[in-house]
Amino acid sequence: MVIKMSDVDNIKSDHLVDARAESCPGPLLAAKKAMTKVPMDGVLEVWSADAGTKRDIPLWCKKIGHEYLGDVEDKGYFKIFVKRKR
Amino acid sequence: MESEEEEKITMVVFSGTIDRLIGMAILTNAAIAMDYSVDIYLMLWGTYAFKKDVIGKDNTLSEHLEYTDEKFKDLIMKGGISPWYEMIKQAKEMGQVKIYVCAACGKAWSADLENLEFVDDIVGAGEIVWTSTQSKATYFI
Repeated sequence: MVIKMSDVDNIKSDHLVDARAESCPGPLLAAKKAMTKVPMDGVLEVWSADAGTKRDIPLWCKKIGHEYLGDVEDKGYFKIFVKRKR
Repeated sequence: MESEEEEKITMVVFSGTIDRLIGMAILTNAAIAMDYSVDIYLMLWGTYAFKKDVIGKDNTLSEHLEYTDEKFKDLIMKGGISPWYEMIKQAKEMGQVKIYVCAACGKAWSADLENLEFVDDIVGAGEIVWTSTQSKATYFI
């Protein structure tokens, strides 16, 4: 789910994980690890330069039960937003 | 016998070549990230690759043998891929990853828990078959 750059400002992230130096599945592992630092119903923002991550994270959300809010491409990398639900 | 939990992935690792072990390690990490537990069963060449005197030293490829060590290293670096044994170490630290050796294969290499890296136990082939039937998916590598 692609979100507009203009809408990103409306999303308040509770925690940011910068995984732009990681290759698949590194950003996904980083997201899993970082989610423990996000409060319930809080938002995790993941930065990844790996094209597979924006496909993996929605599937991870579906598996775990988090809410996938969407992603946006910004200067060669992706910003991905996930709401913690469990 | 009690059924294993259903959120498990089984990998039967027959091959011991670095290119296939990289694939095994990437999928193991992906499975851990997706909250699956992973059972890895080492068969003949897989057992060889996990021997303490071999791990990290054997760079044999399964195909495209024209790739020299240096050329393959460049390829892996370009992909930002870590050495397979470091990925396995990470997966074991982050999630539920158990590594087992087929008893006959361990015997063939005179390998036991003392001279194998990361290995949790030695098992019979029947357990490998049983576990694969209780898993969400089984990969043969």
